[in-house]
Amino acid sequence: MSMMIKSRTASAARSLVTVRQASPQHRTFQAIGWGIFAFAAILVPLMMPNFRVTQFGQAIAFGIAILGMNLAIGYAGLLSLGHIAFMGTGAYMTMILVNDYHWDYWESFFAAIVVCFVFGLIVGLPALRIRGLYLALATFALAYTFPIILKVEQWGIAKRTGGDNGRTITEVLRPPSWARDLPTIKGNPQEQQAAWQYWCFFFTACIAFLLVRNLLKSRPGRAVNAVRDNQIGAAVSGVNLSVYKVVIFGISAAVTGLGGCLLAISLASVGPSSFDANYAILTLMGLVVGGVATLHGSWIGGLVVVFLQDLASRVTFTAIPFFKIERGSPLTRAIFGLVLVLVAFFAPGGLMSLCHQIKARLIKVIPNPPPDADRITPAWVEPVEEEGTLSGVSS
Amino acid sequence: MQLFLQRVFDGLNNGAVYAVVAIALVLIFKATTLVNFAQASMAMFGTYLVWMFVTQQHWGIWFAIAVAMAISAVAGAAIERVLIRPFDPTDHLPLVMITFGLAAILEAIAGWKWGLEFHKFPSPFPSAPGDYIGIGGARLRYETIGTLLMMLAMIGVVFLILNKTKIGLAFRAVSSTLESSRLVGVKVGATLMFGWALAAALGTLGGAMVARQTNLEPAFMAKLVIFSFAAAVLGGLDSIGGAVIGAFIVAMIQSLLVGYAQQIPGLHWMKSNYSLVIAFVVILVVLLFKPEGLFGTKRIERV
Repeated sequence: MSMMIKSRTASAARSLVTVRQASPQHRTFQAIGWGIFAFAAILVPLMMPNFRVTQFGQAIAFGIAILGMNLAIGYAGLLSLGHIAFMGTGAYMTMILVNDYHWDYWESFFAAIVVCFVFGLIVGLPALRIRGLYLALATFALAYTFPIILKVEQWGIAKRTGGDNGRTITEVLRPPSWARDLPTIKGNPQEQQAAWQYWCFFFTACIAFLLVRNLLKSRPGRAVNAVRDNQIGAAVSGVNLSVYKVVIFGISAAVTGLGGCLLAISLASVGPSSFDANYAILTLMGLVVGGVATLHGSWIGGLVVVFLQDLASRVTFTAIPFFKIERGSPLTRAIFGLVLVLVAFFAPGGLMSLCHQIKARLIKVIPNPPPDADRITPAWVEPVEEEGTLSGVSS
Repeated sequence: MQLFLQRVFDGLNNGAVYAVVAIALVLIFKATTLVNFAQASMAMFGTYLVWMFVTQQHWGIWFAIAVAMAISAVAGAAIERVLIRPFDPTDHLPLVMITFGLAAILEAIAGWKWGLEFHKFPSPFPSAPGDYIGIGGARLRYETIGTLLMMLAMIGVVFLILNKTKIGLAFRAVSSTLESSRLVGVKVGATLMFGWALAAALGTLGGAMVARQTNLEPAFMAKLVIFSFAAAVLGGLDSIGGAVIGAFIVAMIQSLLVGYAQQIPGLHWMKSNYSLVIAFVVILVVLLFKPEGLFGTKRIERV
């Protein structure tokens, strides 16, 4: 018993502050943390050159897509490698609806979310029958087939999608007149537009993350986790396996599709090469680097996808003296594979687990007992014995 | 009739190639219940080695293939030991990350070392324009016959290794029940390394047989492997014979459907570039309605 207390005080001593969960101090720290994050995120367009702002916008788009993948792969344990197809579906929906039907961008989001949800349900149906690597295999084939289906010259598919070359989006996401007068947006129209686009993305991402967070903290979210961790146990506890699996796959597809919509706006043109198997690997890399089954790892994942690509295409590596990798050499693509392998070996929790470790050094949160913990005493809990009796040995 | 025969011959040719790669996939799946997403890249790399030996060292094609197969086998065993073994075989995500990452690395290295352009590949079989047997006006090319014979020989060798040698027995034990075979003293690690080595060597052989027809570039095996996945899934992922039969079924569907698409209403768009759609549909339909495939072991889930 004394050992336990000692270890607890030791761990408390290692962190700077100790707070009780949901106490005013804890709430203050949370507010400060989120405030800094939001402040930095909102100020990005005012501190960076234009192309960086666009890249951050793409990072947000990939972040939302990875959030969707996380929902299926991390939280529900449905190993899907084909989510890039849902991202592509979202992007193409936005492009076609805006170009050909003159919809607003916002309206196209909703249409894309619905279509991707239904598409996800259909692809998720095999998830009822097949598990683990079988599902990975089927969805991997989807990732390979998706860019090919886009080029089929029948039923007007290739005409709408633009086939091999894709199509440019004719409409631009312009800031409304009231936003142009905001004191923060200055400079030329391009900068205005990039900043407005970025803020729209950030706002959309915040809503998406909030909704997914609430979903995961709710009863269905816990049920989904139970399905991942112990299918039989979940079924015995009254979770309808088939409904939860298919619906969570559909929701994850819808979220990923939303990420695709944003990517379409950001790229201003949509083509099959942005949604091929390479990008399936890239987004998977983002997911695992950020942290599987961590909500906010998805933001990191998006940043990693965009900026590692940027790094690989722009930088000449001369780290090892006799071995120089020229800029744009095909070998730079090995970085993504190398990162995947290294993360699997050395950082299975991703960068998010590192963040948690740092946070634990700074702030220790003592969890509150559940509100009715003293009232419910399970029948099988034995009463605490006196010190020195036999059962004390085990502790 | 002539056209039909020609399409059947094309199907036979493709089927033999799919079968070779599908056998490699099934071997690894049987041993570790792991789908090797790097199989295509490993085979591609081995094929580049053959090409390099032939064009730069001026070795005979068969000697080059043999050396490249040996190198692939060693590399396959090393990959198993270094990259695969440290992970829990029931936890799929890290293994998918490893094999995916390996595929990306190998493709990048090949693109850097040998360029992204297409290379002509020397044929291991007589492949002059006149090298064919005319049957009913259709051409059964020597290449097709050679590939088929090669595949049959390979099945024979794999069968002999698995059924007549001690390591084959160990391999069958491990793929049946890993824990029990460890308990009776089978060296599980060495056996799995052997499985990977065999699969890598077979992949290189398959690549070398098909490379003349597709030409050589860093992604040339990727499309083919999807068809082999379809074949393996159709035949049952843990049945070698099933994989071979599945390969021929998939190849025949592909050859005939693409060939006769113009006559089938609603299928005008089906050209050979789009034939991957067939593989995807096969995979999806089989996994949906008969996940164990035609000849696979039915998995019983205990509840």
